[in-house]
Amino acid sequence: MLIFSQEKGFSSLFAVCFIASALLLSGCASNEVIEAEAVEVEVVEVAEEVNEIDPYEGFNRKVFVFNDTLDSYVAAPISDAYLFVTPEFVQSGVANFFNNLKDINVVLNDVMQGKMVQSAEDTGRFAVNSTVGLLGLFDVATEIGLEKHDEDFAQTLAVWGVPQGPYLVLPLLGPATTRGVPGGIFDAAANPATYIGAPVQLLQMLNARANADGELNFIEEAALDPYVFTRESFLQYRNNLISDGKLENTDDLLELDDEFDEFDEDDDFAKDNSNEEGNSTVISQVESTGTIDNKPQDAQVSSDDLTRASESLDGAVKSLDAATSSYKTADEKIDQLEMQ
Amino acid sequence: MFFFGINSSFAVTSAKVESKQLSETSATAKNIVIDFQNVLLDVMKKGQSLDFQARCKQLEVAILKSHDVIKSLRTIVGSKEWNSFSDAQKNQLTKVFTKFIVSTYASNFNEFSNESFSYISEHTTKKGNIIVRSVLDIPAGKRKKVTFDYALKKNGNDWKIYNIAADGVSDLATRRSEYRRILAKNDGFNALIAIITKKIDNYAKQ
Repeated sequence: MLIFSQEKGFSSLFAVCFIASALLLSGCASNEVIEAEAVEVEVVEVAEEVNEIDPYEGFNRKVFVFNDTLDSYVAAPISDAYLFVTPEFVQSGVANFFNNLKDINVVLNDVMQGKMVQSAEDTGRFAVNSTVGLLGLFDVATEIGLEKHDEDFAQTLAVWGVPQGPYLVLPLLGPATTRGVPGGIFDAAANPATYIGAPVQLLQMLNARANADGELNFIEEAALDPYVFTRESFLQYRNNLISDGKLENTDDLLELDDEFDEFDEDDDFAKDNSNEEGNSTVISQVESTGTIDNKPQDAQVSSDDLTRASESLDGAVKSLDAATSSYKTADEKIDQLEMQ
Repeated sequence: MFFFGINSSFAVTSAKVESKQLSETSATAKNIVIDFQNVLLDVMKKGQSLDFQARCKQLEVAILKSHDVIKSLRTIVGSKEWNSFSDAQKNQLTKVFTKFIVSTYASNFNEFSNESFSYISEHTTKKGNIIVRSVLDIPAGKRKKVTFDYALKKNGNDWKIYNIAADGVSDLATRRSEYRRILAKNDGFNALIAIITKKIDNYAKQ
């Protein structure tokens, strides 16, 4: 799983994942990584058909396992220690501090997406939190009703019409799309935290990992195939950010029933069972049906993988090109967006 | 109901009256969602006094009452796959899946720190389903708000939840990719049952 994500989206991404992740309080999950990997290895065998969104899946999965392993042995223990040792107000102070610096990115991207009113609000947020909020340690702005927005350069590129491009899992950084690569570079360049120095960057990484802790535990517990679960929820979450959560854009994703309506009528099983609701004995009838094979993992990186890696890099470079050329016409685009 | 057999003309009249009353009194989509969320909050508040199994019991009743689990499951696995299952398999998968959903809720909704749900809006889609939007407000910790969209479809007289999206991540869309992947393997059905069962066991062990 991702170790230290650059994208704020990511740390909050899994908050999302279905129900409770945001509430994940207790955790108390013993990290049964091996098991998650076992599932993953099993599933990888059928992964051969090429997915349009994820053409480098074979390679991505290897990076995913690498990140996951590194996370279990390095990032997770450090993050656990941080969460255990530091009082909650320190943790939220640290999180607020980095969120405040990120508001600079938010303002820039507000402007580039033609969201002028929002950019004024976000400038206000930054001003209030940097002063009254003691250099951003306290999120006073939210208290007084200036809500936090989530904008980054990858979203701006999307608004400008740069295509999403294939899904990538980057070493250490985790899930991305080719559009997200130039996006991430731009955001890092525009964020003061990048220039303060190594200790601050380490703290930033630690903060990102610690904030994603509950979500990562949720995936480990709830996902049948953590790789697919992460990919699907990442892409949907990013799309939701791009559209600013507008409901009309989510109807299709929510309804999903095109191919089912026609057979609703003649599915006797559904009819027979539709009256059984409220029958709470259902659960107790479930029986255990055996265990999952724990196959050894193939950690060899073949030349085929290297080819795929370089292809995925090509994709990122193309996105960077597209980003650059779209930046040339940014002027006109912002004007158009403003008029909308 | 008894009237139906006795006097058909009377039965027709009474059926009409009954259905009219039902449409007036049966819960609206919005209320189905709110009632369900109230159960979630209730379980969270009692998180310290109820153990995992007790939470499961309470949640299962609420989920079966408000959700169309079979519809969700069919959407996840796909019509073709679903129709290829025997009735016994459909039954087995439905039971395991229901228990998995219940366990996931019971495991995560186990503590209360002043969370609250607020209703935002509802709208009817082109296909006639209803989407209810609500926000979960979490005052404690770092994250503040999660938007939950519930998709409800009419099943008989009742609206039933069949999909939930949290901040735009659709539960069914995510599961669909996972489950279909596993089902595409040799002996995919048994593999799917085995993986889900394993997950349920892990939740129960916590």
